[in-house]
Amino acid sequence: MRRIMTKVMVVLLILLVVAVSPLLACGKKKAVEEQPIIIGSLTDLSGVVPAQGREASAGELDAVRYINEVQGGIGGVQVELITKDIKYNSTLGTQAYADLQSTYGSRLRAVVSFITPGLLPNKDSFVADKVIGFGSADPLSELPFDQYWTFSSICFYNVAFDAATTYLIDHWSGSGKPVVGLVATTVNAAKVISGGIKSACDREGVTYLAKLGDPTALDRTVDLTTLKDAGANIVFLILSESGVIKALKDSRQMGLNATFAGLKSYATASFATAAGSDGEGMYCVIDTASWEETDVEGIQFLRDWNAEWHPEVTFRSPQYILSFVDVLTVAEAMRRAIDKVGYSKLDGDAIKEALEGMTDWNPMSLMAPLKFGPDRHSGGTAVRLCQLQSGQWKAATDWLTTRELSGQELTLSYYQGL
Amino acid sequence: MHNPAGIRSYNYRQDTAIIKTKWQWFLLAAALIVIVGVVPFAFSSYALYLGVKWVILIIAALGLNILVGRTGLISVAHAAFVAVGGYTSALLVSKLSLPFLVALPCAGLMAGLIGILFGLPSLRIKGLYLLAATLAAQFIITYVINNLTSLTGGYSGTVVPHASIGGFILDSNQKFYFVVVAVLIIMTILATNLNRNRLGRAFIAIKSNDKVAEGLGVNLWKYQLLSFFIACFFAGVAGSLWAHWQGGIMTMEGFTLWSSIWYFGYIIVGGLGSVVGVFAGVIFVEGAREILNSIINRIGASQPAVLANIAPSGDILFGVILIVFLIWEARGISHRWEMFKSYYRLWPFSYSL
Repeated sequence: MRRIMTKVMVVLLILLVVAVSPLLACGKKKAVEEQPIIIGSLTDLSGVVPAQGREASAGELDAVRYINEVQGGIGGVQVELITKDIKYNSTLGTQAYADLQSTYGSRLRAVVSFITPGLLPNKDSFVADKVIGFGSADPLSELPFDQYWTFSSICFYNVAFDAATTYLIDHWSGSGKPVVGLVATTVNAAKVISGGIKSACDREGVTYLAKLGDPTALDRTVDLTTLKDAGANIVFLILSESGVIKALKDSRQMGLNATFAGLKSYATASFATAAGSDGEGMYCVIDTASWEETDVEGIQFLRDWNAEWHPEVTFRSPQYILSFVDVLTVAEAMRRAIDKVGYSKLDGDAIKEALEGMTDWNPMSLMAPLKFGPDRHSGGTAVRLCQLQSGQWKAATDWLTTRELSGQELTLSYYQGL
Repeated sequence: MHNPAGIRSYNYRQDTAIIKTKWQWFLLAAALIVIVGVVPFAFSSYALYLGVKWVILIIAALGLNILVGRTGLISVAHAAFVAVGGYTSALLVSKLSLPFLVALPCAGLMAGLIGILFGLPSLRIKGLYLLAATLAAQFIITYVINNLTSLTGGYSGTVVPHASIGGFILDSNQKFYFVVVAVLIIMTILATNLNRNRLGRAFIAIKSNDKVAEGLGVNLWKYQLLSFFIACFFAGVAGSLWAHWQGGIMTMEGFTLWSSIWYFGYIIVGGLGSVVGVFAGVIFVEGAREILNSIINRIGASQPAVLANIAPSGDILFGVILIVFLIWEARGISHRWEMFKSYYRLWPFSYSL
């Protein structure tokens, strides 16, 4: 019996260690002096969009490697990227940020994240801790610009899809005016997109039919049938990746031969493979140059860079390029801040001020020139369309300049009320 | 329950006392001093983050333990009831400007009332059929919250202000820690006392055999619905704390069916029916998850390119650990704890066992 009890005591001690060790493990902060600058990354590697997360992580890691090895760090100080997998979950997003802040303290200068759960739940904490949050596409993360420390290098979805819709309507080759449709979910981003498409359709005098449904519903054949009966010619699909692939296949089967368009997240090699011939001709609204554009300085650099470090990779998605730009942009703001105040006085205020002063930032021509300001935390100024041609994503347009946000679009309540 | 050697009860009051010895009082006082006086000041903000999260999970799991462990009913909609409390509190504070301390019990009451509604089927069905009925509750509540856009913000969520008490804004883990610990103490006392009164004994009777209990005069209709109400009241209080602790945005994202199943996991691992087991279950399960994530993140920090490939392995490994644990000790950690206490009390005369 004593032997059994000894075992029990050992097990209980292990349980105690299990319970207490995470609390003790993260207790002490390291010295600030001469330590690498920390950039946190809150990404999704095993949640809702892991394929996109892998591309984003690869882009961020390559950017850090580029900064450290080619640029010699930021003002001579090396950069370290600490990636946390938050599985597209807000609670894990706040937990991961708390962990980063607790472990690295003032060495944590910025957090990059391509997903809303990485930035939106932490927006108040970023302000309190004076940490830059960078990379979200959801206006709720950034507005109002003068109160939050959250930035992005892309355009708000409403103006991005306004520009894309206008282009597709103007280049419609059929007779008369096209009918534009949308099959999307009721998530906030989709509503913002719908607002952008609608404003373009209203301006062009084109009929617009929006079908917003439950995010968990994969089957949207009813909505597609409605759009077919209405004679839709241009259909935007804003669903999960698998939802879009199913919608494309269903549309082809039911004879809905429209021009399809969607998000930049679909412009991946895996999507092209999965969609097959059903996806042929589909457009995606992207914020960056396309991987095939070897005449773009940054693309050629990234292709060479990938050939050296990732020889197995043959294609990089827009998310990879965007995440690469995001980290370069944050690093550039830190570099400008160090130039102005010196490394010893580098703080969140200096970085934010430098970032808001970047009004014509064009890293390797990978994006249209980015424009930030105290009242402009969404740096994107233009988007473009890429198209799936013969199984490959290729640039289909030049830069489509987006209109500036105005009036109610600059208020949080506008997006909350959509 | 075995008493320590030399401790005898001379009346019913003494016999049902939770704390019976000076040593137990001393340990309790020492624990309170450490929890309130040391932990919030000595531990890092991340440790406090975990502490607050675990405390809230314990409060919610205490409720489920009353329903499942004490009354023998079943519910896989517990996370949805937590969400009801969260949204209730968020809306009362943000839309009606009610104080947090008023919204907190209101959240519990609202969740309790909704719980009674979905507990009604328990009068006619039980076991797997009741499980299916509560499964419907999870989906119905989720659907209503996600589609009642004008009130809840739908999938985009609703903005939740930080909790404040008397103008003191609880905008940090350290400040919020004191509140959740205070609520935990109150809820733990409530849950523990349930084991010692007429209500608790009625629950146990229903769990043992509902027909016999009815024959003995236990009103099934009343006590089963009361069990649902109390369980969901705990969930609602936890939801209120959760909503204001997150202090930003409230969505249904953290209250899915998967979350409800995790609550089940806590009380099963800890030991059904035991208050100590709920504490142990939450701390063990969440602690193990935290350690696994920590290991994966450490590997990822030194070899970032590998992180993408090993990220999902944490969930897989954790599932394996749970299965192994349940096979090894199906009666939960609390059973082991009781065995340990028995041994300790008789030590060094272990042969007496």
